[in-house]
Amino acid sequence: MSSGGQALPAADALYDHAASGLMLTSADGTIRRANATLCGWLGYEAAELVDTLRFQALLTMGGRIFHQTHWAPLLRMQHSLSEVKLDLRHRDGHTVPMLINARRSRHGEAHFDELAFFVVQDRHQCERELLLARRAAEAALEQRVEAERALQESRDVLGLVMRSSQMGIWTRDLVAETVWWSRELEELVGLKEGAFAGTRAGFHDFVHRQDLPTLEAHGKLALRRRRVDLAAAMEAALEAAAGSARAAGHELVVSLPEPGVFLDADMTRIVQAILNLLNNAVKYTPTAGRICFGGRSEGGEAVISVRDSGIGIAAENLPRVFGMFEQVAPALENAGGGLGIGLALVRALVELHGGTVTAFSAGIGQGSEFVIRLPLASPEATAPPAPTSARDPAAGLPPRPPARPRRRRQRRCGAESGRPTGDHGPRCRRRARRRRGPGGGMHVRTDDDPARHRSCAGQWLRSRASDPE
Amino acid sequence: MIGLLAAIEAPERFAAQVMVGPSPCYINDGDYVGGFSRADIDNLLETLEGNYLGWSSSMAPAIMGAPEQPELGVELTNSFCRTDPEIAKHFARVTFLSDHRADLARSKTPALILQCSDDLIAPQSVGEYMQRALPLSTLCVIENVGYCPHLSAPSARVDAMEGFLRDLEA
Repeated sequence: MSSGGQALPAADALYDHAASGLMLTSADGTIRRANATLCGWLGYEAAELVDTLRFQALLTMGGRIFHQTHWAPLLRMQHSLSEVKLDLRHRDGHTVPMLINARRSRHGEAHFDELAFFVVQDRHQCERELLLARRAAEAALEQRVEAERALQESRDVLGLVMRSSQMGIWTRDLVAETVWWSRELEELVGLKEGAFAGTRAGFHDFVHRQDLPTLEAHGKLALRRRRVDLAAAMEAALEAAAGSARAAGHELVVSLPEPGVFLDADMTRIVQAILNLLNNAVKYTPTAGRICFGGRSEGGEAVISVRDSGIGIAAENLPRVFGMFEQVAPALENAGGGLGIGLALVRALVELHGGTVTAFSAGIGQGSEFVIRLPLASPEATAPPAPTSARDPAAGLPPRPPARPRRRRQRRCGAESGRPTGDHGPRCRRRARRRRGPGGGMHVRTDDDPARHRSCAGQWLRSRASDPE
Repeated sequence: MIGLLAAIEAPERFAAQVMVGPSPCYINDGDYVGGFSRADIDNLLETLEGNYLGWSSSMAPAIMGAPEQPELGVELTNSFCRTDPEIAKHFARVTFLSDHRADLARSKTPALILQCSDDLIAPQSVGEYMQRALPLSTLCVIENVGYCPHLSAPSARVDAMEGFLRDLEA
């Protein structure tokens, strides 16, 4: 069709000045024709390209690899490509983002590739922004998942302590302090980076936003058990406590276990428990004291002992030291900002591993000793236990009370006390029930049974009798 | 290189290895010419990502029509292109950023190195380096542009492999 008798442009002119860049190449990419539009966009004369360069040579290095790994095989297999976005290199070095369609066709005996180009500067900008937004969204999502996981774990730790301790009133600050402490420790033993790598104050803020009453419902702390070398766990705790011990001028006497003492345990939690005992020893021992830190295997158990020359514990207070927020005189004066959570947490963690923790002291000013006993890893997985004669006499541990009679005594008490004898309200029973460890039992030490403690044990036994098992 | 590592681990399970356009290390390092700089690889990852949004349509064969669509085309292409772009990116990162030059000397399994005469990804200098460093290796250069001689020059590749295997049996 003509208009007003004017002739249409010649096909060659249309090709040369088309509204898109056009190129014809041999199958190996050698440029055979390039229209003026494309040459203008890329800053070349046609003669500089034709029969001289390959299409690939105009791409960035990444684009060339893409060309070789994706473009060329696909074009070979399906004879066409569309909307591929590649950066082309302008003659002066800058890149021009282009969208390319390509089709392979046969002319006589030869294969040619016909390429059409569009500059997509705006789309390029838009895509970059989309990609950046996507990356930001993915990073935020990842962070959130990690934070959720960490929060859940913190709740579990807290719930565990709350359920297995005789609990007073929790405040948000106490919760925050405990969780902070637990996260910090995980970083310390290098298991993972804490998700809450913020300031302590920031962390308190975080906990203040949590729903405190629901925390107690948690408490199924999942142990990540694996084969743990007792010596390695002790060393990790020692490393963490050594600085403050040195600063206080304490002498540290360390006796690590013989090689081959293995636990089936959660490394983080065990280190957490041991470290807490060490920190207590440092804190409650006057400057330039002596702390003995020993570990060994004895009668199928791993025994870890922390003994100090510190302020000691009065006999009547010994049974209370593992209670929540129990800071007994004279420790109360030495607490230095402590909250009395630590030993309750130690007990909870140790019991979760099927172990026990016991406190000993000859009295005020006589120092104290804390002993953790944990089951060893199964024998088939462990080297033969060293003979008990290998025991370090310097550790000087007091003999462990036999387990069976103690359990029998508890049972007997339970049978005797079928009904509550005093006025114990539901709150009391609830508290008593809470005190039961995850294993369904609590070690009631009757060795130094003061009247008050007997009353607590009674509460527990009664609550136990009312829960059929 | 995965095959090489497997052959080093369990040589009794491998009689021979045929490597198509292998490169132990893509990044230039001192005198070693792998062909690429770290920035080139970052640029590739960007290119992969840049084609992510239009991934499915740009690679689908039906859009423009294919005048001489070979029968194998559709199925092959579809499986080739169904690769999750995230996985493709990860694969590219692992491939192009690895360095297995030190492993070459540990191989005890006879190897045929098939090299394309014009391969951007594994330049001929890399093939020559491989032959020097890899014990019991034979280098065979196929006249071909690109990285996929099994697609673009299958008969040359088959000839080379058959010759290698015959020599091995002899």
